[in-house]
Amino acid sequence: MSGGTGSTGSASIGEAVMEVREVRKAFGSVQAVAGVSLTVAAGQVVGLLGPNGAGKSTLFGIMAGAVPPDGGSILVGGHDVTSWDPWKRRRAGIGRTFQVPRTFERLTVSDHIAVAVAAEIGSTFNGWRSADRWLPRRALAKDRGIMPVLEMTGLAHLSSRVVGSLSFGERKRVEIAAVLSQRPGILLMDEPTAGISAAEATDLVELLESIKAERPELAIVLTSHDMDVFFRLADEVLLMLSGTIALRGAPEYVRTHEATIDSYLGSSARNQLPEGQR
Amino acid sequence: MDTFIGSFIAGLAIGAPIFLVASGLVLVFSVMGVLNFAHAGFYLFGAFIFVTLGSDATGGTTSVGGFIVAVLIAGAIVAGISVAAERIVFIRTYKRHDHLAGLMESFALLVLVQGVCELIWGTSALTGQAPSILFGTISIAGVPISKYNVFLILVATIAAIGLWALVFHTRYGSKIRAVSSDRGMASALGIRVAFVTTSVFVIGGLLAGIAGAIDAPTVAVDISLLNTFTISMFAAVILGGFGSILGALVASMTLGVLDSLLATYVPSLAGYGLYIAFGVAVLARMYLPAFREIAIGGGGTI
Amino acid sequence: MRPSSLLRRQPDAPGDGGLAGLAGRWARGQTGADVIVAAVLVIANLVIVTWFGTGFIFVWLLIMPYIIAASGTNITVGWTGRLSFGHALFFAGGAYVAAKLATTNVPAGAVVVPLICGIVAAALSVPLSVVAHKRRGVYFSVLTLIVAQIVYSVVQNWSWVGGGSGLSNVYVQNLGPISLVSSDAFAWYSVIWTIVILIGLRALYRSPFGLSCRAVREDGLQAETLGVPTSRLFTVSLAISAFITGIAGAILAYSETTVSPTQFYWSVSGTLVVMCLLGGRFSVLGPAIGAAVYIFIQDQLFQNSASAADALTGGSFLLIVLVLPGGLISIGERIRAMRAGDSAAGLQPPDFLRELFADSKR
Repeated sequence: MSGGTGSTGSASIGEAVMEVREVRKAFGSVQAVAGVSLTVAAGQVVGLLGPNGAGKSTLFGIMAGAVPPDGGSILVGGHDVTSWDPWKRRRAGIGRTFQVPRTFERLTVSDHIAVAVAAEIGSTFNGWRSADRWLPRRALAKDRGIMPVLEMTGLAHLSSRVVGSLSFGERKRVEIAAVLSQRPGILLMDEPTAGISAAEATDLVELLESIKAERPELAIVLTSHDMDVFFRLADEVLLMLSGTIALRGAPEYVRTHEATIDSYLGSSARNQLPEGQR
Repeated sequence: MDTFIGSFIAGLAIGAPIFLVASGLVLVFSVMGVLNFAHAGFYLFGAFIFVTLGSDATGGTTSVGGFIVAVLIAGAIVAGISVAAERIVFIRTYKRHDHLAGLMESFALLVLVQGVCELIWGTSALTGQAPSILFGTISIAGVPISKYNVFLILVATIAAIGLWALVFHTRYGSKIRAVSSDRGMASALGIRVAFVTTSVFVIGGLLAGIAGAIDAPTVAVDISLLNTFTISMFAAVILGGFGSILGALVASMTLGVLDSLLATYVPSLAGYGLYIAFGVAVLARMYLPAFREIAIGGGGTI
Repeated sequence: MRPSSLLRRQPDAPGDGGLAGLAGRWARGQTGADVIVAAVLVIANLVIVTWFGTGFIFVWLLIMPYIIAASGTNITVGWTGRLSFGHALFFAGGAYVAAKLATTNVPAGAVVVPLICGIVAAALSVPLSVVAHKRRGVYFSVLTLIVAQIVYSVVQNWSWVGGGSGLSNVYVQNLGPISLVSSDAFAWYSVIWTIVILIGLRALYRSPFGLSCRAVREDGLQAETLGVPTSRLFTVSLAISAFITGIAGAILAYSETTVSPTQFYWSVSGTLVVMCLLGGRFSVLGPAIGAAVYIFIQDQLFQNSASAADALTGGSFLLIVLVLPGGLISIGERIRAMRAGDSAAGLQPPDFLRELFADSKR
C-alpha cells in the first residue's frame, strides 16, 4: 500500500481533491451541521469562517474523520471515505492538525516525525530495524525526510529535545512537521494560529506560504478566527452560520460582507462602521 | 411455568445487589473519570461489617431493628472508607489528569482491600443472619417466592427510583450531570466540583456497603466472594455501559436472571452461570445494537 | 542537508550524564549496550551459582522468569500504555502448557516447549483483542481482569489440569546433551533465555514498531491521524507481550516444578504490573530491575507470606504512582530535575481527560 499522497497526490491543480456532499450532523436536538456541500480542488486554500457554534468545528471533524456524520458523504479522489478510520484517511492523503496540538509528549522531536514517516512508508510494524538509523535512510530513499522537514519548519535545532519540554508554538510546529513529512494531498488545519503570539502566527503563515510555493498541488482547508490568515492564504472563504454555508467567495468579499459583520459583531455594530471597512 | 417465574424472581434478587454496586460505580466513574476497581472491595467490607455486627451480643441482626441498624452502619462505614479513598488516593489523579495512574491506583486499592480483609477476618467463611420475618416464602399468584428475595428486589427498586429522582429531578442531580459531562465547565459555572465528587463517593460507598450487608445472609462471606462479585459487577458495567445507571439496572437484572435460569434449567453448568453470563454480556455488547443503545443512549453521561 | 546528520546516534535526554545517566540511557534503549546487559547477567549468574549455590540460588531462579514476564507485560503496560490486569493469564497459561506437556511425557525440547507456550499465550490474546476492539482503554483493563479471573475459576475445577491442586513433577530434563537437572545447569538455562529475550526486546524497543507503540501510548488519536492503524497495533503488541510472558511461564513452571491455579489470580497480574512500575515502565530494562528488586524484597523481608505480598504490592503501587512515576530507573533524572528546580522534569501530561482512553470510535 503506498502512502503519502495516496489518491490525492496525482491530482492536478484545479481537479477536485475532496468533495463534501450534503453532510449532516446533529447532537441531540441541536443540528450542528445541516446539509453542507463543498468541493476542494488541488492547490486551493479554503478558509472556514464562522462564529462559535456555527458548526465549523463539527464540519471539520467530519471531514477529518473524527466525527461520523448522520448523513451525506465525503469523497476523496473518487473514494467514499465517510466511514473510514482516521488512519485510512491518512492513506487517502488527508492530513490534519488540531487546534490544541496533539503531540507525543515523551518522545523526542525527531522520534515524533519518525513515527509519521514510518507510518507513511509502511514500516509501522517493522520490528527488525532501528528507528534512529535505518528509518531516516529508508525514508529518504522514498523521498520522505525527517531532517529536511525539521529544517523546513525551523525545528532542526530542537530535534533531540523531548516534545514535552517545548513551548506551545513549538509544539504546533512539531505537529505540522509530522503532517508535512507525509506529503498529504489535502491538509486540514484547525485554527492553526490559535494560542500563539502574533510573531509566531506570522511565522506560521509564512511557513504555510512557503510550503504552498514548494508544493503547489497541496490543498489546504483551515478554520480560523483570524481574518489576516485568510487574507494571506485563502483563495476562497466560506462563512458558516447555524450549520450551513451562508456565504462563499474571495476573502475580501466575505470579510466586508454584511452577513459576516452581523454574525461577529451584531447588526447594530455594522451601522457604526465607516463604509466598506471592518 | 411456576418454576420459571420462581427462577426469574430469584434472578432479579441476584441482580439486586449487583445493581446497587454497579450503579455506585457508574456514578463515581462519571464524575471522576476513573473506574474504581476497589468498589467490589467496598461491597465485601459491607458484608464483613454486617456479619461482625450480627455476632455481637446486642441481639445481633436477627431482630428487625438490629438488622436495619446493622445494614445502615455497614453502609455508613463503607461510605466513610469510600471518602477516605477519594481524599487520599484519587484526589491526586484528577488533579494531574493522568488516568492511567488513577486506574492503577484503584487497582492497588483493590489489592490492599483484599489484604486488609484477609488480615482482619481471616480466610474462613462467615455467615450473616437476617430477622425471621424475612425467612420463608410467600405466595404470589400461587407461586412460592422467597421473602428475602422480595426484600432484595424491593431495596433495589427503592434505590433505583431514588437514584433516578436524585439525578434527574433535583438541583444536586443536575450538578452531578454537569460535572460528569464537563468538569472544567461545571467549575466555571460555579458548581463546587470537589463537593459533588466527594458526595458522589459517599453515595457510591453507601450503596456498596448496603449491598454487601443485605447480601450477607444469602452467601458465604469470605474472600472468594470478592472474586465472584467483581466479575458480576464488571459484567454489569460492560453490558450496561460505563455511563448509564439505567444501563446498570438492565444489565444487572439480565445477568442475575440469566444466572438463575441457568442454574435451574442446566444444573450441570450451575457453577459457571456467572461466567457464561459474562460471556453473553460481552458478546451482546459487541453484536446487539439494542444493548449498545442503552449504554450510549440517554444523552451520554448518566 | 548533510547525510551525516542522519547517521547521528540518538542523542541524550536532558540530565543524562555520568553513571546514573548511563543506567538511564541503557534502559531507554539508547546505547549499544547489549553486551553490557549480557555481561551483567552472566556475571551475576556466575557469582550466584558459584557462591550461593544452596541458598540464594532459589530466589534467583524465581527472579529470572519474573524478569522475562515483567518485561513482556511492559510491552502492553509501558510501551503501548494499556493497563492489563490479566497478564497472569499468559504467565500462568504458559506455565500450564509447559506443565501439561511435561507430565504427559511429550518429547519436546527445552527450547521448543517455551516457544510453544509463548505461541499459545499469544493465541489466547487474540480473542481479547477482538473483543476489546476499538473500545476505551478502561474496557480493556476490565476485560483482562475478568477473563483472567474466569480462567482461574475454570482451571480450579478442571481435573485434566489438576484442578485445585494443580500439576507437579514438571521438569525439563535436558537441552540436547546437557543435563538440566541440577539447579546450576538450570540457572544457566534460565539466564540464557533472559539474556536473549532482553536483548531482543531492546532491539524491538528501538524499532519503528516500538516507536509506534510508544506514540500510540502518548496520543492514540494523533498516532491514528498520522496513519498508524491503532487497533491493529494493539492486537500485535498484545500478542507479542503475551508471547514473551508465556515463555516466562514455561521457565517458571520448570523452575518451580509445580503449577497451581492461584497463578491465574489477579494478585499475580498486579504483581507483574507493579514490577513494571517499580522499575520504570517508560524504559526497556526497567521492568527487569523492578522484578529483581520486588522479589528480592519479598523474599528477604516478608518470607513469602501471601497477605504481606498483597500489602507490598498495594503499597508500592501507590508509592510509585504518587511519588516516582518513572520508576526506580528514573531516580537519577528525578534527583537532577529536582535540583534544577523543575518539578516534572519538563514533562507536563496534557489535559486529555477521557480522551486518553477514547479510541477513534466510542
